[in-house]
Amino acid sequence: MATPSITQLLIDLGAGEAGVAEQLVPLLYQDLRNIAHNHLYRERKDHTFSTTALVHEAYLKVVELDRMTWKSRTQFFAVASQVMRRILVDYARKRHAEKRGGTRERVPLTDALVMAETRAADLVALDDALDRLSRFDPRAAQIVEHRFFGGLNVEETAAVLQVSPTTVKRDWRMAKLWLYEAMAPPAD
Amino acid sequence: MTPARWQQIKTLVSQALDLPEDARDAFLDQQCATDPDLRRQVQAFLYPAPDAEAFLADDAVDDPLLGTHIGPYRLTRELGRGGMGRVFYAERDDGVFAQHVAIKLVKRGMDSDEILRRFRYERQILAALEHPNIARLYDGGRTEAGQPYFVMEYVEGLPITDYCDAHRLSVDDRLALFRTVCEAVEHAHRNLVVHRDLKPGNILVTEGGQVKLLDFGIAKLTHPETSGLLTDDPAGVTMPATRTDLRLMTPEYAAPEQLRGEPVTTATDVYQLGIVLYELLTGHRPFATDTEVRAEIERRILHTDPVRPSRAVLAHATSDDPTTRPETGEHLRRRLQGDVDTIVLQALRKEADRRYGSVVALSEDVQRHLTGLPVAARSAGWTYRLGKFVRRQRVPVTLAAVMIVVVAGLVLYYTAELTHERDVARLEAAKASQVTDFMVDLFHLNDPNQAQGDTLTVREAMDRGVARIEAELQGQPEIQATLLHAVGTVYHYLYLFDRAEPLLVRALALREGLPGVPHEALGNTQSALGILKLDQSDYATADSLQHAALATYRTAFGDRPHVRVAEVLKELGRVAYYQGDYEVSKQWTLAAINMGSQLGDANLTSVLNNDLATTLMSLGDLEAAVPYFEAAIALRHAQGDTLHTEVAAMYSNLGHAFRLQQRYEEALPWFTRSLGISRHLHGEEHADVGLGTMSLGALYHNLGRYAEADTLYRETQRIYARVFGPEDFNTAICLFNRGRLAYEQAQYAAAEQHFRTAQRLFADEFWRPYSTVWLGNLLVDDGQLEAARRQLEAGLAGLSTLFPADDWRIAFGREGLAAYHLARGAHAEAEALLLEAYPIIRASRGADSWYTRHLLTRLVALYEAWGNPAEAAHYRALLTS
Repeated sequence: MATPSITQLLIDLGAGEAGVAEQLVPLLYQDLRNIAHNHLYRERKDHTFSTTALVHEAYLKVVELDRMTWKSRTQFFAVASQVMRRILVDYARKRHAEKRGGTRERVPLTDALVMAETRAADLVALDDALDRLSRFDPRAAQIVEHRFFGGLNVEETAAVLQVSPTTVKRDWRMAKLWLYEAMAPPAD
Repeated sequence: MTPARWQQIKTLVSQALDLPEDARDAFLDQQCATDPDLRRQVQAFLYPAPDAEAFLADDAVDDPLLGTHIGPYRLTRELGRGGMGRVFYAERDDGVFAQHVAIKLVKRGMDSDEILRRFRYERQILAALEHPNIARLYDGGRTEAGQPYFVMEYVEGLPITDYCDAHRLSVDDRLALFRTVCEAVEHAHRNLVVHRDLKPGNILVTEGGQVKLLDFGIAKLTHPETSGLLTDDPAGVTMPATRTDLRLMTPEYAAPEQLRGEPVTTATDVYQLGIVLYELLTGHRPFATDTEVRAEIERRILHTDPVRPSRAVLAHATSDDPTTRPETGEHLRRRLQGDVDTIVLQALRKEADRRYGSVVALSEDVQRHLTGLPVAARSAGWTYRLGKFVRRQRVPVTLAAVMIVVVAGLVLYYTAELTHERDVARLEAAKASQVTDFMVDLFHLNDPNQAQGDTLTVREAMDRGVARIEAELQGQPEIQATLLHAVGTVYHYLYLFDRAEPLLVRALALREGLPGVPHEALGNTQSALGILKLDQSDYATADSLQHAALATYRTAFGDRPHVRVAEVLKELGRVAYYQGDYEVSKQWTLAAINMGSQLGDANLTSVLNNDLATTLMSLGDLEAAVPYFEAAIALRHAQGDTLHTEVAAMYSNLGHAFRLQQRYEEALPWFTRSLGISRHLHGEEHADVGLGTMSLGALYHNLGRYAEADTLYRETQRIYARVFGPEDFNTAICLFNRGRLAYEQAQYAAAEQHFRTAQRLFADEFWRPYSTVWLGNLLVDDGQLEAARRQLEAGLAGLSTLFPADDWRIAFGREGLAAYHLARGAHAEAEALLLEAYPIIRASRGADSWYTRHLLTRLVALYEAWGNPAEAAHYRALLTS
């Protein structure tokens, strides 16, 4: 169950070694995709399972807990949020293609995992909007990625990006409002 | 949008948000005077549409409590909230070791002083609730803001009902899983803890299928009135429950007696298990299927009979979902009809004393059903009546009280019963073993070092019980023997060997006098007395008693593997070990391991692997010991046990196995982890923590990391002085190590002081001469020649009675004498002694060791002083290589 290489890479990443994140992404992709698929493809009775819970589950499954420090843990969630974004958006695109035309009502985006299942079109739209946001405010886009896809809280996000929690909160609010406008249904 | 424009908007929004609302317009007027577009965009971000604010859900992750610390734990996310407060996932981030826990934060407004008072009172009992299926309660306390909190084992899993549905478990599988839950509850009952809030949300199953019960004892700490084990009021008055407290309970799972404000007992847990079982089998709860009105649910719980499960499944769609269960519809109905209906309804009786008498009885009935035997749901057996008797006694159920009740109750029971139902009672005597186990476990699980407060009253209770066993059960040897055995074993666990011995001896004599074929019970008493004899250092008697027990068990069980046999094999291994017969010990322990693994008893097998590894170390086979320690540890890990004194001991043992092989780097993580666990479990001042700091200190000493070693030795000395006393043997060992550390750094004055104090404190035949030899070596190096000679000669005289002439410790003493001769100019004598000592030290301590280098330094000094530069150069080269 434990994959030592992931743990070691996370420790190396925490120690600031270069090029580690690039090695981690493909490794984590496999594990996270397996876990996500468990939840996405098994018709679950309850939809209470969240992205946060999923990433935490992955964390417990793929790392050797007794070697992890607070720092390497945060690194995990940071990398995991990028990976989760790719998995969920891929899934949503596929699903979106199967069922043409998503809901275009303006309901809150509660959780990426739930969205991938039920509101694929919105998740795809969010992904596109995030790409656009990252062109003029990459940090704000990363904040959304970490918080929405990785389930990191303000403080964890701040630690990963090495900015203050106040900055995270401010950028988060700005990004959210911008995305809301950017994802508005076309006026018709 | 350009990055520059975006930055401009962001900055203005941020600045405006910092201003009072009525000042923002003026600010924007001024800032955006020439750019109405900018003004409009900033405005949009300042005053967004309400649903835009809620667009990405974030309230859960912006909790102000997240990120804050409670003790060494950092709250990282919320797991849930309920009537009593909130539960957080937290992790230790002080760098000691990674640990993940759940922290329950009690809601403000609850009586925190009272909760903490009760926590202190219950703490030992709750801490003793060690069971693979019970989430541990690690700690409790009060936050800086004054809120009580509890630190618990974190469990990642699904509520048992969801787990069964998600895995589409069959009725048989659900029943089997339910039995695991029963075992855990039963374990708690034996430790006098009633759960009183059992429900699927408190019974989680991990992805690996392991059941974990949460919140044991928590309900009592927070709401004793709703309640309880009987109250702690010695007058025996039970407080009625108040309705407000009940509001916090989950109504669907409340037992009638809880709603009526009557005392809660183990029967309450039986009832709640019945509800859980009902829900597992039918997919819904018996009383809350179509209403959420509290008063209506309560009325039904109190006054209406639940619909039989087999009928209920036909009435509700949840029972008929083939994605959650393989059996549905008529098939499911037939599966539940009969036995299962009877079992569930028996657990759900409104009158507590008409339910199963214990969780064991419920669980055994489920098992009987699973194996096709007739269920015993309606028979009222011995345990049922004793249970009723215990419940009738309105006395405080503390450790002591239970002892009085159980011992007095057994005596009463047998006296009464024997008069009227002599034959029945004889048959039932076997069941007394259940109560025996109950009593014995009670004390075994409470560390005698910590149970001091309760010990006296328990002793009084038992003394009284013993007198009654002798007086009132005359002529009933079998029952007398059972009780004497039980009380004797309890005395043993309380370290009262002298009291235990006559009782066990008498129990054994009674049993041996019984007619008929030797019975398992005889073996148990033989073995129990054998263990006592081992603790009393009477090895020969211990050995023959364990052999006798083995013979008895062979008669009783034949050749089939049995846990009792495995235990005796283990004890035989231990007796041999203490007698120094390590080869014999190894053979017994191997036989025990073989049987333990056939039985699938992971705990026993783990202990045995540890025993075997220890034996191998004593045989000098350090390398072979390592995999057995690793196996012992892995078995405990597989059960989810990581924070346990025994696990800490195994880590430390493995560390020593590596250390003694001079594999220091490999030893380091094990000592560190062991110390981390001990600190976590015991705080800073505990013998185990002292042993941990000492071992780790010694390892750093070996690694040449003197500063770290020094800090740890000082820490050890402080702990040992507090725990054992400043003149204790353990403190002396620590001083001795500090002396060696100072000596190796050529701090002679400090070293001399430590060695002299240690030498004064050592009284035994090894440590006194051994420390004396060290002091002698030091004094030579310090130039105190005559004092050195006296010490060395005295030390060598002592050591030569213990070891052969080629022992390295003797060689080390003779090296000191050589240095003495060298200092006096007696070069030939010095040379003879050094050349004799050199190969011994080198082979035993290693070519790189401090000892070898120290001796080489002396050889170089000798040949330089003697005018033999060639030899000096030869040894100098060895020294620097």
